[in-house]
Amino acid sequence: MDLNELNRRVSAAREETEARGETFYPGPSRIHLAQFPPKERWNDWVELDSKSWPERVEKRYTLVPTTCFNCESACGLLAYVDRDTLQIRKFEGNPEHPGSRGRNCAKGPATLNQITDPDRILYPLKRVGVRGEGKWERVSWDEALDDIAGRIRKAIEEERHEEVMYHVGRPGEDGYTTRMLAAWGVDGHNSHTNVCSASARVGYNFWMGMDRPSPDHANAKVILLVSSHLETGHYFNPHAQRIMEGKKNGAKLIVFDTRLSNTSTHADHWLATYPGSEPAVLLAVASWLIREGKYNREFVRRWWNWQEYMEAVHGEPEATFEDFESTLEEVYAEYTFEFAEAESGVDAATLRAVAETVATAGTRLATHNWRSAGSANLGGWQVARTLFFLNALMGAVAVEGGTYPSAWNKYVPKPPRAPGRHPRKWNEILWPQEYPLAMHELSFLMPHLMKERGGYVDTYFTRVYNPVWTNPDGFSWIEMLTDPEKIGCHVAMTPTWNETAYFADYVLPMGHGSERHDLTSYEQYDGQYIAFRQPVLRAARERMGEEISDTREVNPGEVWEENEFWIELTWRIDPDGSLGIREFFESLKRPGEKMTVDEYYGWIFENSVPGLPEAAAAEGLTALEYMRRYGAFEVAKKIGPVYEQPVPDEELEDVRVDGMGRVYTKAPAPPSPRAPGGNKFDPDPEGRRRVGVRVDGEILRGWPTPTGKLEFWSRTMAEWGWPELAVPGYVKSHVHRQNLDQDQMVLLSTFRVPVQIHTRSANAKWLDEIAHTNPLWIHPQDARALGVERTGDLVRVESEIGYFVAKAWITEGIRPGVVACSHHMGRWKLPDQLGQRMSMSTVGLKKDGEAWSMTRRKGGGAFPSEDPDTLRIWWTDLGVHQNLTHAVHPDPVSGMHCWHQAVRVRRAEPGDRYGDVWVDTDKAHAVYRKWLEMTRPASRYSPDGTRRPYWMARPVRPEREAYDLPADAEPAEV
Amino acid sequence: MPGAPPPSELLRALGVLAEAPTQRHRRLAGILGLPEPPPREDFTELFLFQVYPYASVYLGPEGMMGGEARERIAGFWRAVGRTPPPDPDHLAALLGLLADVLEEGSGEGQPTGGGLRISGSADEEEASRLLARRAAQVLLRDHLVSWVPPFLDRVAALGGGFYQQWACILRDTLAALTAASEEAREETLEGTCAEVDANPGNASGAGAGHAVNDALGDADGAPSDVRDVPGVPDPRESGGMAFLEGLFAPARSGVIVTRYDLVALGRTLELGLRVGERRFILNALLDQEPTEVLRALADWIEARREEYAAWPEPWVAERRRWRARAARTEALLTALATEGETV
Repeated sequence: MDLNELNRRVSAAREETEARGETFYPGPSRIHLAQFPPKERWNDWVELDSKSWPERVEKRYTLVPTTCFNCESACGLLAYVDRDTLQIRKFEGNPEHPGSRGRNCAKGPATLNQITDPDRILYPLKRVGVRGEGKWERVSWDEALDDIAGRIRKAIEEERHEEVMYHVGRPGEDGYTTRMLAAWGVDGHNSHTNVCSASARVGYNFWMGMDRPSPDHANAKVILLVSSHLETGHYFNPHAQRIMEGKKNGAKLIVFDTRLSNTSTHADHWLATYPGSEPAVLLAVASWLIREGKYNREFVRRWWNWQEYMEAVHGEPEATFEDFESTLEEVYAEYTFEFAEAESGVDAATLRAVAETVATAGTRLATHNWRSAGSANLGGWQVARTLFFLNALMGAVAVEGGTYPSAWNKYVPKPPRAPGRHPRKWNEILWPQEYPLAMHELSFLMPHLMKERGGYVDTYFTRVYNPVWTNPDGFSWIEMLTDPEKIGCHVAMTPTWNETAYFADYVLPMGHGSERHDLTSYEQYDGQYIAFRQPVLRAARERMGEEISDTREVNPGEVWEENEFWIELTWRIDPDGSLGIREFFESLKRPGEKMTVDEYYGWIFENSVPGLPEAAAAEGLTALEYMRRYGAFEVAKKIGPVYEQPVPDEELEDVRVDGMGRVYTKAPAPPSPRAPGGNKFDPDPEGRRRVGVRVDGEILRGWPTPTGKLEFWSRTMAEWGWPELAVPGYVKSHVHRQNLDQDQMVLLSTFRVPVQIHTRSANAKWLDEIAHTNPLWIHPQDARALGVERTGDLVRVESEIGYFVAKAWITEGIRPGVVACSHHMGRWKLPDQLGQRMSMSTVGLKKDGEAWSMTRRKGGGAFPSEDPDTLRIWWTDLGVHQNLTHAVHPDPVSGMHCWHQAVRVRRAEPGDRYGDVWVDTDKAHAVYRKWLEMTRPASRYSPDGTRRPYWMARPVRPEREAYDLPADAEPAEV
Repeated sequence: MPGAPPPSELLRALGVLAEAPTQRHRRLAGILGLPEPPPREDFTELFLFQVYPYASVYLGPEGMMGGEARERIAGFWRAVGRTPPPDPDHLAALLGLLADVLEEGSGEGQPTGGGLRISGSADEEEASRLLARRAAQVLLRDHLVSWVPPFLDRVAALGGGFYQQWACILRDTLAALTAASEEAREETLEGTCAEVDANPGNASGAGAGHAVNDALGDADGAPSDVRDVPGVPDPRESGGMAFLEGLFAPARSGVIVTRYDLVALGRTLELGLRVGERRFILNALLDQEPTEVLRALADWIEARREEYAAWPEPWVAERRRWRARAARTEALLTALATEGETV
C-alpha cells in the first residue's frame, strides 16, 4: 500500500471538489454518542429502569421524537415509550433537532408531568348555569362541533365574518391556522403579540422589513443583549447554549438588565440601566462609533437608505455620502456618554468601555432584544430600533457572528391547497384606526374598545391563551367575557384549566406537546430547519403495525389535537361545500372525502421541503416517515447575506430601475416551495414586480422594505404621522423619572423564572416545586426607607387603578428605586371550580360597583390523587396575581402594552392579607382613554386614505379594498 | 514516507471514516480503495457499542469517556492555540488536528482556529514551524499511538471488511509517522525552545518556547497519561466491583474487553448470558462458573498479548507497555482461578 499515493489521491479529490465550491469532508456526526441513544436503535432501545434500582430491571422502549410545546423555542424532545405498556416514561432531548441539538431546559422533560397531570381536562365540557358559575356538563365532541359549526356557518352566511375570532397565545405552529382562517374568509386572527413581543418587532421591522432578530451568538465576538430572558425565557435553550459557545470562544457579553438576572451573572459588562433608558445608552454608543469613525462606512454607504433621507428630510437630493456622514454625526451629537449616564444611572466611563468593546466586534456583533425593555416602555420599540442601529453601523447584519433577520433563518413550507383568498371585511376591534403602524392585533384592548364602541363576537375561540390572567386589567376581561351582549359563545381550547376557561361556554381538551401535530421553524442560528410535533403514542403504535386514524384513539380521555379538530369543524361549517370552504380540507387523493393529517403533512414534506424527500429516500423512507422517525430536518445552513445575492438573469426581463434604485421586472416570480406571505410591494405602473435593488451598478436582492435598503429613515413612519420618530431615537418612557411623583417607584414585571411558562406549565409538578411564588424584589436601601424590615414582610403595591399585597424579598439584585415582581405566579381558581390544585390558590371575587376585589381563601398544599406525589406537595405560597392591577398602556406607535408600572410601595395595612387584590375598572378605562389620546389615527394621518400601510405584513391579509378607510373618516392631517 | 509531504489529507480522510457513514463517506472510501462503507447500523454496533473511538476510554484509569484524560487532551488543543471541540479526544478530531499541525510544521498549511504562531518574520515563521513539528510528535505519541494500536486490533477483529481495511491503512500511516518522528529526534526539545526563545514574537516574551513546550508535554519517556495508572486491583483486597472496573479500564488491564468478547466467552463456556453493560454481563458469568470464566479470560488475554507482538516496529515502546500490563492482568486472573480450584 502506497500511503503517499493515497494521500495524493485524497488531496486531488478535495481540491477538485472545493474548486466547484462544494464541501469535501462531511461535518462531525459524533455528538450523539456521549449523551443520546443512537438513532439506529430508537425503535428498540433497552435501558435499566431507574425506579427499580438497586434491582437491574431492563426496560424496552421505542423512542419517538416530538417538539416541546411550552415556550416558543419549540425544542426537540425524544419520548421514551415503554414497549410493553405503551406509556410514555420520560422525555429527553432530540439530538436530531438543529435548533436545540438534543438539549432542553427543565420544561421539556416536565412535559411528562403535563400529560400525567391528575387535574387535566379530559373531556369536552359545556357550561350549565351562568358564565363563570363553575358548573359544567360533559358533552360529546359531536355535540360541541355541531353547535359551534352551526354558529360559524350562520355568521358566514349572514356576512358577519368579523364575528368569528380566534385568539391565540402560543401559536406553536406555522401556517395551519392562518390557512384555515383564510379558507373561512374571516379577519379573525387575534394574536397575543401586543402583550408580548410586538414592540421589538416594530423596531426591527422598520429597519429591515422583517420583524425578528436571529443573532449568531456562537460566532460572535461581542454579544449585546437587552433581554433579561435570553437565558430564562424566549428561545432560552437554543440561544443560551449558543451564547455560552460564543463565550467559550472568547466573545464578550454585554447585558442590559435592571435586575441581576441569570443572563447578567454571565456578563462581562452588566449595565443595570434605569428602566426605559436603554435607547439613550445605545444611542450614546452609536454616537461614539460615528464620532470616532469606528463604523463600517462601506456597508452604510451601500445598504442604508441615506440618499432618500437626505432628500426627504434635508432637501438635498444631490448629497454625497460624506454629506450624510456629517449630518449623521450632527443628529446624534447630543447623545453623549454623559447624557446617557444622566438617563440610565450608569457612569459614563463604563458606557465608554462598553462602546469600545462594541467597536472591537467588527461585523461579529450579535445583538438581541425581544420583550424586556422593549415591551415595557412607552416608545419601547426604539429599544430594538436603536439596538439594531449598532448592527447597521458595524455591518454586522446577516453575516457570520452578526444578527440575521428572522425570515432568512426560518423555513415555512407551502401547504397543499393554499386558499389564496383574503377576508373582505376589516376587523375594527382587532385593527382599530388609531394604530395604523401596529404590527399585530390590539388584542388586549378588546374589552375597552367593545365597551366604548360596541361590537359583538359571536364565536370566540381562545386557544392556549389566558387573557384574564395574562393580560393587564383582567377584571375588564371578566366583565367582557361574562357579558352575552359582547361574546356570543366562548370556546376555550386548552389542555389545562385556566382563569379564562372559567368564563367559557365550551372547554375543549386539546393535547400537550406529545399529543398533537404541528410544524414549526424558528430563527435560532444561521440556518433553516423544520421540526415536527407529533402525537407520540400514535407514532409508536403505528410503528408496531397498528393503524390510527384519529388522535383521540391514543390520547388520554377524549383529548384531541387541533389539526383534526379544525378539519372536522370546517367540514361541519360547510358540509356540502356550498360555502366554498370545504374544498381546502378535502382529501388530495380521494376527492369528496376529508383530508387527513397524514396527507396534509405528507404533501408538505414531499413537495415543499427541498432535500427532505432525497434524505428520506436515502434511508428507504417516505418524507413523512422520515419526519415521524427523526422529528426534524435541516433545510439549509449558512444562509449568509441574502441582500447581497445578485438577482439571476432569468428573473430580469424588461427591467426598469426607478430613481431610488429599486428594480422592477416583467419576469414572473419563480415558483417557490415556501408559504406565501410577508410584505407586499406594489408593482410599477406597467405591472412589473419588484425584484431587487441596484447597488453600485449591480442588481441585488436587497431588503423587503419600501426602498429595498435598510431603512435608517422610515418614510412610512414619517408619512403616517410620526416624522419626529422616523430615525432611531429616544422616547422618554412613561416611567421616566420626570413622569413619576416623588413617592413613586417603577414596578418591573416583564421577567420570569426559567422553569415556568405562562399558563401551561402550572400543572408540572417538578417545575412547581422549583418555582411557585413571586415575591417583590426590593433593594435594602428602599426597604429601609419604607420601613420594610425583613424578607417576607407584607407590602402593598399601589398602581394607577388598584393595589396588590405581596411579600417582600429584600435583595441587592435590583436597582434602588425599582421593584420587580415575576409575572408567572399568582394563578387562582374560584371556590368549587376545577383547577390546577398544585399551583392555583382558591380565591373569592367580589364586585362592588366598578370596584373588584380578590381575596385568597386557600393556598396550595397536598391533596390525594392518582399521582402519589400530590400528597407530597409542601408548598402553600403560590404568589400574587399582579397583572389584575395593571392598567392598559398601548404604545401609540407599536400598539404594544407598555408593561412597566409606576407604583407606590408601602408596608401592608392592618387587615391587608397576602394575595389581596383590589381594582377599579372605571379608573382602568380612564387610563385607557388617556393613552388612546396619544395616538395619531389613520383617519387623520393616513397619506393615502387607507387604514394601514399595505406593504406591512399581516397574519391573514384582507383584500386590498378592505384597507380603504370608511367614507366617514375624519379628514387627513395636512 | 521520507521526503514526502505530510499525509495530512489521508489522516483527515481516515478520521472522517471513523464517523457515522453517509453518502459522502462512500466517495471517500472509493478514493482510498476501500470497500463500500457498511450500513449505519454496523457503524453503530462497532463504534457505539463495542469499541469507542475516544482516547479517554483507553488512557484514563476509569476506562470511561471524559474525565482527566479528556481534559489533558483538551489542554493539548489549547496549547497548540486552538479551542477544543466538543469531543476533543475523538479519533477523528485527533487525526484532523494531527493533519493540521503536520501541515503547519511543514510550512504548507495556514494555522486553523489559532495555531502556533510566534510572529511574522522569516525566522519567527521557522520557529513556529519547529514548534508545530514538535507538537505533532507529542500528539502522535502521547495522544494517538498510546492507545490506537490495541483499539485497531479490536476494530479489525470485530468490524467487517471495510473497517478491517480502514484499520490497516490507519495503522500503517501512524506507524510510518512514528518512524519518521523517531528519525527526526535530533530536532531536540532544547533546539526548538532555543529557536523560539530567540524569536519571542509580539506577546509571548522570552522563554515562550519553553512555556509552550511545557504545555505540550514531555518529548521523552512514557506518555504522562499512562505512566502512573495502577493495574487491576486484586478482588481479594479491593472487592469485586473495583476488580471489574479495573478489568474494563484498558489503561489498567492492558486489554480492551468488549461486550462481544464477553458474549463469545459465555457461548464458548456454554453459560447463560445476561444482557446489560459489561460489568453486569461478566458478573453474571462469574456467578455461574467463576474458575472457568477466570481461566478463559486469562487465556483470552494471552491471545491479545500475542497480537500485540505483531505491532509494527516503530511501536516497540507501546508494545512493551501494553504487553506488560496485559501480562500482569493475566497473572492475576490465573492466580484467582488457581485459588478457586484449590478452594
